[in-house]
Amino acid sequence: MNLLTKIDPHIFNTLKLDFGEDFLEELLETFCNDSNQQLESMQTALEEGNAEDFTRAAHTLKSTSLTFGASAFGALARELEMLGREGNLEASREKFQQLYDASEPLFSELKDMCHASENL
Amino acid sequence: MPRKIYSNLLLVEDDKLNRMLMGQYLEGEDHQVTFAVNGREALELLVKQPFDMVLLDIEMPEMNGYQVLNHVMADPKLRDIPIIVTSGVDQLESVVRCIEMGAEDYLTKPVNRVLLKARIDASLEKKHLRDIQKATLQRLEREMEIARNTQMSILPEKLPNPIGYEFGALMIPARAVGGDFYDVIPMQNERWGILIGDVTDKGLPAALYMTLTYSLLRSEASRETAPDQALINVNHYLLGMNAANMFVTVLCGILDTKSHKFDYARAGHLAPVIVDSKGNMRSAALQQSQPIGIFDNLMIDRGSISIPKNGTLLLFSDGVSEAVNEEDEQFDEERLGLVLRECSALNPTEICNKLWQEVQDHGGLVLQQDDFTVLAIRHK
Repeated sequence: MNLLTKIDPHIFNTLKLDFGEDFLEELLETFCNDSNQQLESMQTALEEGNAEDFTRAAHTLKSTSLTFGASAFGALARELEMLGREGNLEASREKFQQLYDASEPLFSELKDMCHASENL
Repeated sequence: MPRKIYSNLLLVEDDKLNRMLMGQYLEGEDHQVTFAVNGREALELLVKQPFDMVLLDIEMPEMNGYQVLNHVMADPKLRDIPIIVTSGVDQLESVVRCIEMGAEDYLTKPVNRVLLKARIDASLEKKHLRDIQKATLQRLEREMEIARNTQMSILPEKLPNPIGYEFGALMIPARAVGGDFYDVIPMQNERWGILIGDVTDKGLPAALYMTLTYSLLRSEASRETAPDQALINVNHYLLGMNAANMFVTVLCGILDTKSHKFDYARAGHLAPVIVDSKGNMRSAALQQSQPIGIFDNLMIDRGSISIPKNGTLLLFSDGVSEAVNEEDEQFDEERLGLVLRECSALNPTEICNKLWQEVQDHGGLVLQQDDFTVLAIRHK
């Protein structure tokens, strides 16, 4: 679990510098909301056996989490995207659960880093 | 003072977060950003507003990046807008495909701000230069068109119709403006000053030199100067002009429509040719001569030909005799003789047109190298 919430400080801090804390907070807000939506989509898609929707949501989740430096989380999302492309939803269940469980802790971690002072 | 908006960008990106991020970066660089959330919206916007550049996400649901690219490349009005495609780092194959389709550059997501700026600036600069180049070319073409019209307007509009004679002429420049000229100038006592000339070089400088030489010769004709003296005088004047590396070959003479003789002076130009009523061609005898505009003591070939009844006098430039085909064979005298034999029943204008057709057929796919000029004079 810990691994999946790891955030690349270099990427994150660059964002912070470029955008400032306020805008970054706004971005994070959007990220968290959108990510929850993607995860819901994936859940539903799994239940319905809809590989296409599953893949698309995983793809978006991958892109956006990588943007914030959540490398491990993003990598897992990528694996799920690949499985989805192959139509292999059954094999995705366990990994999806891992992703789902890591999401809230990840969001907290991101928000903490946002508010933290730069010289940590 | 407000900073100038640098450019109008269209950002095509289906993910909201990425739109926010990239939009923020781009607006930070003073670009004016318009957002499209999918391909369809992008295409709608592209036809409605002018954009300086498009940032296009390759993988979008509904219409994807390829389809957008396809549409844009197929539209001549949109084709020149630079497109930078964005994709995940594991999508390089897709990127390559897009670049083959016409995208200018790419960026991997998550987009790095420094790279974004660098790629955009580079593309905009290239587009700017291409736009300048296009505008310059268009201006040059317009100027050449004006030069050509001016030049064509100084050549004889109508050929004379003296009793017992019929004139025909045709000039086709190799480029927009040419170096060949010809004229038929009325003189006293039913005589006509005939001249034909060819300036070395092609294009605008030759055209200007041609106009000068032509004017000088015309003014000599109006003073009824003898052909050889006219050449000497004009030569003298041109030498005083110091026009680097340019010279002119000229054939000028006086056609006496009562005696049916053509007395001429030749400076480096092709000798005149006579075709008799039976279609037999003969060239005038040659003596050595030099073009004008080079030497002080000009060597001139003086000659005189009679035009038989129903015969035709022909003057032409080396755009006829030196026209080459793909095997580098010239349209030589033999070929000319054959064509003229076939044409002997045609009127002078028809002869000129037929000759042009033959020269073109001979040349085939080879581009016209020299101005083509023919002047045909029939003793009826």
